[in-house]
Amino acid sequence: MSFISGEFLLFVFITVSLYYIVPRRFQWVLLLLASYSFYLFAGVKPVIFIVLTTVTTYLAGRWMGRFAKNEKKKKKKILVALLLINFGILLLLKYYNFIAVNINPIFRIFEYDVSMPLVNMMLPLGISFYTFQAMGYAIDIYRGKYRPEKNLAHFALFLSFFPQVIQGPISRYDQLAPQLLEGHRFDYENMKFGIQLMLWGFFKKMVIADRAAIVVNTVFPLYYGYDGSQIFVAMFLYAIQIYADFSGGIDIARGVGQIMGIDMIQNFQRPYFGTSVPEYWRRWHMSLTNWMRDYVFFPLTLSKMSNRLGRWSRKRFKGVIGRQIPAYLPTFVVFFLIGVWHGAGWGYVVFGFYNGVIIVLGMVCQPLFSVMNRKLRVNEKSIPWKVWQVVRTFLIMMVGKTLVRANTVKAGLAMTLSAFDISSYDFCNLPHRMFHMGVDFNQALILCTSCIILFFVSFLQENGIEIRNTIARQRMRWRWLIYFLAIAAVLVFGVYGPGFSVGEFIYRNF
Amino acid sequence: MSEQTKKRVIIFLAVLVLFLVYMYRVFDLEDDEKTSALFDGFYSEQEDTIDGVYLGTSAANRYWIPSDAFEKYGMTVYNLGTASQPLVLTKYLMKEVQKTQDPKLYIVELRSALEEPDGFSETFIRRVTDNMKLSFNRMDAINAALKYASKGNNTVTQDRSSYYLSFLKYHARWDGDIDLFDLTAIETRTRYKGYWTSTGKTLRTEPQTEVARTSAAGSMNEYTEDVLKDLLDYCDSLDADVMFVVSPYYPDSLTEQYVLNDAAKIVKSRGYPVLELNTSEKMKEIGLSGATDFYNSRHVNWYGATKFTAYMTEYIHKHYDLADHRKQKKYESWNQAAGRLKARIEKIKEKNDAKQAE
Repeated sequence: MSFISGEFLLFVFITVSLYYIVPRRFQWVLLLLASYSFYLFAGVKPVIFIVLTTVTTYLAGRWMGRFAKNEKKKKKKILVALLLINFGILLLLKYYNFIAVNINPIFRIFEYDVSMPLVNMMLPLGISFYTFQAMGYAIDIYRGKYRPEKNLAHFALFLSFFPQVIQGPISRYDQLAPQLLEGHRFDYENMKFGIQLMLWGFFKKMVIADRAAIVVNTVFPLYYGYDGSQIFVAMFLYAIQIYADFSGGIDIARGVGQIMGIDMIQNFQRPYFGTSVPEYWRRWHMSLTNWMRDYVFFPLTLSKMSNRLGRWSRKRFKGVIGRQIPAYLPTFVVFFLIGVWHGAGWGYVVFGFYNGVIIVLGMVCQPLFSVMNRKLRVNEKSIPWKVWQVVRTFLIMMVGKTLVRANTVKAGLAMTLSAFDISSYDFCNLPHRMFHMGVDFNQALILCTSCIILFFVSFLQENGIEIRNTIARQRMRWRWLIYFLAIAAVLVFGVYGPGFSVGEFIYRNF
Repeated sequence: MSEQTKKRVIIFLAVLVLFLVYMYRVFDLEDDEKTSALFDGFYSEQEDTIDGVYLGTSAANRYWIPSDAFEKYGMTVYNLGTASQPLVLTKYLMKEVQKTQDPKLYIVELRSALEEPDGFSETFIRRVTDNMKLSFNRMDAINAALKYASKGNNTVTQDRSSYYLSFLKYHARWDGDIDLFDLTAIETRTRYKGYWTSTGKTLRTEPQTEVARTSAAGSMNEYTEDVLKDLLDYCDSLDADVMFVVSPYYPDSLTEQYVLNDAAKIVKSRGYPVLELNTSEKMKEIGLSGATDFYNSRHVNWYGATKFTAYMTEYIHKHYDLADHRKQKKYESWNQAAGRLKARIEKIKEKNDAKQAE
């Protein structure tokens, strides 16, 4: 069931109504039933996979909980088995065909008479999200961060909570589970703010992302028919589309949670205001980045091998580089994993490496940049410098995302070269050509206006202004005006439905 | 939640509902056939004031002038014909009519029997269902039409939600199809009890040359035949008379006539009368002239419509017992419709004369 559907709104309405009708001690039961019902809309088979992950993780957690803190080896065996089972399922379902397609030619090169057959496998809804969430829980239990959950149904709710199951955020057990299990009284403020957050999510998704998608879907597959300026616009809009789409979905999910008094973690913090690639990643899909930090980066940097590498590098290299070398490999690993987490394809692999290389290069060159800035007397606290950093980071990420979205990595590179090569720009009749990218003048106007609204709101938030609280402080007539305008904007300018063509209703001479 | 907040929430929700209704009306499509005005006009009729309903395609709403029939014998036979009205929707329109009216006679124009699922259009469906009030009957009508469409090769989208809630489709009209009049959300109603007029066509004359005609029957499309039989089954359950009409025109081919003859044969075999007026003899009897009474080969103009209506009125008066309402105050709007139509025809004449003078 898509968030952008009448069924979803009806589902939320019924669930929320029942949530506040049933006694508070049974609210979690209702949420569990609602979550599994929601999941069942995707079919019965996907439910088998989420149940499998739920049961194996629950049992492994309970088993690990039986051992004392000092029995780490026994706990480790259980954890490794669990990780193998669950990441194995994920690998099989999500990456098997990608691996098969790429490994079969290698078999042929070495003249092995084997080939991995391609299999038509279904990908259960949100498998990447709930698998990571479950494994995060198991690792925390292994580390003794908290006691394992005793009630299987409680744990099942933590993994299947319906607003987050489609696209996250990847929640932590100690943050989310207590909120799911404790009862909530109806709170008008929560209801109001939750609905507002959902509305903002719908605006981002339906008005911005889905409209930007029209241009992206027009230009990307046939990029060679467009000049550099058009390709640049399409690349820019793809960066906007993916942000508005993903963060819009998260806003809807968090809004639904807030209506029921459940505060889900932030997943985006205005990433395009990041002044560097690492900062961008601290603001983008934060629940995944934090997961990678806690469960991949830290274990790798704190491992014995990393310590040995650190001692070696400090002896060989002086200064910052000597200290940083042990972090290079974990950084690469993390960004490779982040890349492939998003999907199976060379674009994702390259995207992961692209980020890894840029971040490591940034770390290596940081001292050089500092010297350059000092010599050139750059005021690193000045606004123009900050703006430059933001624009630079945006452009770097825009290129990275293009590599993923383009038909092939080669096409992505060709698009990037064209977009940044002014000589490939055809300045003749530029406005006319801008409207030959899938949207007409009115559509382009709405897209620009809505992007400006998104920027303006993000800018205010970036400067510490809480928009919803600010609106709540206004006089009723202004508040209501804002609400009605927002509702009208989503309903009218949202991209949904079968579309309309004036010519359809010209009378046919029947 | 305080009492004051509760009050505010209730007021907000009430205003929101009004706002949504307003939006729905603004984006509601008024097609170039003014079909929504036809339905709004029908829904605004006083309860149980309509004696008969004329259903069908443009071969109904260009032919039957309800106000002429009222002037002559005081019968109230509303014209609910819409351009390309699908036969599959006739049953549901009858049900819709019965919600507010108790007609004694249904007249079904049979040219819709020519339809086939191949080439079937979403417009044909929407022109009717978009303008019906939200109800289970409307949902049934949509389901039936989409089922029929699914049998053939056509571009009809099967996404039911946008038929149930037409705003899902028409909200996209913001891009170049909304004008100031739409924003007023004013409901327009037909002023002539369903008779269709057009400045460009109503008084236009396009001389027709006689075509070969036949009384032989071929076979109609199997799915359309099923629809017709289903309609006849429904007619059996009605506590009202039903008659079928094949109105006069100049068919493109003999094939069309074979199909219409077949449809008429099926209807007659079930015991329902069929007025087959699509023959040279009947056209002469009505007084229709190919030289003056058609605006194209498939439709009569106003001159032809008056002759056709006069003939049909006499037939209905002779065969069905419909009351004379001319002196009843309740039916004043029917008298007004006659006056309005005359005025409209005069206006079209003036416009055409002015155009010719230019």
